[in-house]
Amino acid sequence: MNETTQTVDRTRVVLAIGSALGTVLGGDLPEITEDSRLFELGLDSTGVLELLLHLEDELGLEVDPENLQMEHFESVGALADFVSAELGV
Amino acid sequence: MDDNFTTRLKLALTGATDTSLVYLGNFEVERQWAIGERSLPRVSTAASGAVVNHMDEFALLLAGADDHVVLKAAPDPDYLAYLKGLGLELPTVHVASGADAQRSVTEDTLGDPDLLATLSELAAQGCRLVAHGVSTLEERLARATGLPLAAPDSSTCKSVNSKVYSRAVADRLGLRQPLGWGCSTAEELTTAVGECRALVAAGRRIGIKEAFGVSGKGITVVDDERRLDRLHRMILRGAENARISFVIEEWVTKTVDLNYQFTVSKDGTVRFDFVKEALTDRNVHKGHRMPPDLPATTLAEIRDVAEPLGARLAADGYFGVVGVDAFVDPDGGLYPVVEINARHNMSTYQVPLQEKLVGPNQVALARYYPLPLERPVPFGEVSRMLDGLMPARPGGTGLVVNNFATVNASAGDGPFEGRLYGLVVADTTDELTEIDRRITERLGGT
Repeated sequence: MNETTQTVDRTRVVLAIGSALGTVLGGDLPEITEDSRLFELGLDSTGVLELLLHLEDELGLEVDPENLQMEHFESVGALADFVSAELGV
Repeated sequence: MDDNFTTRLKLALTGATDTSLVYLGNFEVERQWAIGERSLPRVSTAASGAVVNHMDEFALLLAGADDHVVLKAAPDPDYLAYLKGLGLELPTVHVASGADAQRSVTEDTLGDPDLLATLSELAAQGCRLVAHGVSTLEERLARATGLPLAAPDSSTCKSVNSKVYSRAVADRLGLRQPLGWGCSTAEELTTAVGECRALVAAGRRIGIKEAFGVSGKGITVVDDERRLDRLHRMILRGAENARISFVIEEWVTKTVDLNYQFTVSKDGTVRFDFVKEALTDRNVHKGHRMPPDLPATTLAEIRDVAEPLGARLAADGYFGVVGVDAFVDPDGGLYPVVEINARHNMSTYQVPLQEKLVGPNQVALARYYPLPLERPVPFGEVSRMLDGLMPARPGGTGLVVNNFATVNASAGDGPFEGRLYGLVVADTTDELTEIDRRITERLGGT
């Protein structure tokens, strides 16, 4: 089988965030959009680390804790901007 | 001498029972100790920060008529009348002007020249400063006002509050603890991670803890090597000039979480204060149940640990209140030191109310209730909501409110969640469960 390297772009980042949220938060989540507010979905300080570790696994991201700001977690879109910038996409 | 906790505390900290104290409720002082230390990713909401900073109002419970308390906000007058009605002697309250919800009471006070001047006058009268915990900020306040701190210096306080220190002390005293390592360098961290790979491969879980994490933050549990390696790399990726202070240890199943407190006097004597069952939810502290339902042998074991622990802390320069987290495993085995919190603890503030209101054969639960709100509410409105569920007299049953500032702390535009802290008192554990359920229902919880 040929290996296909998936290109990481912002669309994929958003999808990965949605998938990671589902894993971390479990349960029935409403439809995730870029405007979805992470803390209103139920993410807490414990979940933040879990979320980032899932994104590292999925996207090859390497998070520097020093770069994290509260604003990055205001919404899915804000987090996607942060992750995309970290990945250089 | 009155044999009550606050009188004993004055004697322990100052050598006299009539010293007038200025109390500061600077909760989450760990955030100051954690400055310059590498951390796991952490973010806090503005709402949670506001609530934590307004926990400073707990300090009212420790202070007496000859004492002073500095607060971020003026207490609700009906709440003060309520506390007085419970039999508390209220201190003189000083409120910082220009308070910022995201700052501790110490930071607010440092930004208020008039309040600093008032506190300087208190210093001239012989008052001493007692904080929830001592960081460089509280030392700065002491210098700015001339109020001597009735506590060791911040360097000592930070040092003995490190989870790395807790492990080292437990090792030194031969106290049972999970297999683990305190890591103060990148090399030690890498060595510990290497040891843990075998544990994880054998199906065991590993906890990674920041040495200065507060209230369940800065802790993560891993059960696979890939995740362990990711966290290792994440920590090493931190700022080069930030210190590495982490504990890595086997994550042992707990059946009962405990919190016990003792007080180390300035002269080195150690007095055991109490032990309670700590209620936790996903490593975050939720409250305490007292008395704990433990065999007499376990209670005796805990009391026997306090003396050598306190002696070690005294030898290392600490004096003051010490809270220790411990747990019992499924086989009934006691792990007597998980974490040493050499500062005031949540349960410290409950003691004066317990002494007044919880009878010798009663049971109590200290917790907070989430309060979904659309707008700030006055104390009168909340106490009307709880009509019939508050004790009418000492020895009665129901909810004793012990912090009201946290109810409206995160009010802004739109709905918010308040926290109503209190002590539920009952005659039996079944009655306690029922009263707790009714309070939850009445406050709009599920």
